[in-house]
Amino acid sequence: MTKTIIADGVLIKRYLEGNQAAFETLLNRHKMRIFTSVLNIVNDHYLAEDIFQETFVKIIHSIRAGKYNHEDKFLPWALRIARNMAIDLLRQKKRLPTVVDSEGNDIFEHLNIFDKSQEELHIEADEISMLRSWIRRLPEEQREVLILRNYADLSFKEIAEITNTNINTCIGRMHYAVINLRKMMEKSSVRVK
Amino acid sequence: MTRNITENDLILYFYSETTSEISSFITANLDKNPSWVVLLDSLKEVKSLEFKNSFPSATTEHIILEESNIIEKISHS
Repeated sequence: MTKTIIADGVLIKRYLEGNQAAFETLLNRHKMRIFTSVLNIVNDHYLAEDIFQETFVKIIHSIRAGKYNHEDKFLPWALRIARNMAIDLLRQKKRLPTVVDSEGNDIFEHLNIFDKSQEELHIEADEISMLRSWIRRLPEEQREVLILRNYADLSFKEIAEITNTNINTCIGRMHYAVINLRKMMEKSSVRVK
Repeated sequence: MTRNITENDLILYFYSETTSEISSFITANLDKNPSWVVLLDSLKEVKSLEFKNSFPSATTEHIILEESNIIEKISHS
């Protein structure tokens, strides 16, 4: 028996009519793609959790306020909110005062270094981790386009709308991302399928 | 037909986002343009790299569902 997939727009309509399960379905359908995209863009698991949560709270409020008018284009809309949220949170983070230890070192920097070294332990053995480390090294704008096109599966037109640029800029960023990734792959002597 | 194919055209072709006219032209002329094949192979290679799927924590999901339920109840009260 084939299972019918209910369109995002229909789920939103049902949620507006009081069907809580419809919202849960929407969240379950998109959580992996949105969370993974955010995580790969900001490179920080805790920050990604915050952005994801704030994004969905904003989504809930926007839907309830009748501001959702994107038919079944829920994912690009949600990713646009997540991106704006990430920019805001990263700006706030930069404004936070630095907490230093007795030697004058930023304790959060230490925590980051610790996290990275833990992760680095697996990189040699794990091709996926290696990809993440390569992607991390890409300039932010290239990383964003690469993730939104290859992982979130958005079109260049949708990415241009989300990032407030034009299609040619997005394609150019993708081109440089590919060139840079190829260089990293060649340096690591890793060949993929 | 003579046409100047740019790198942007090739990238759009790879992702099936170009017009059918340009798409047909590129397909028909791939053999004569090894530089196109190099770029398309690079795109293919990068695309084949798999992202590791990640999920938000159960706590985060719980907070979101609570929020959606609260708002829903307020709206219908």
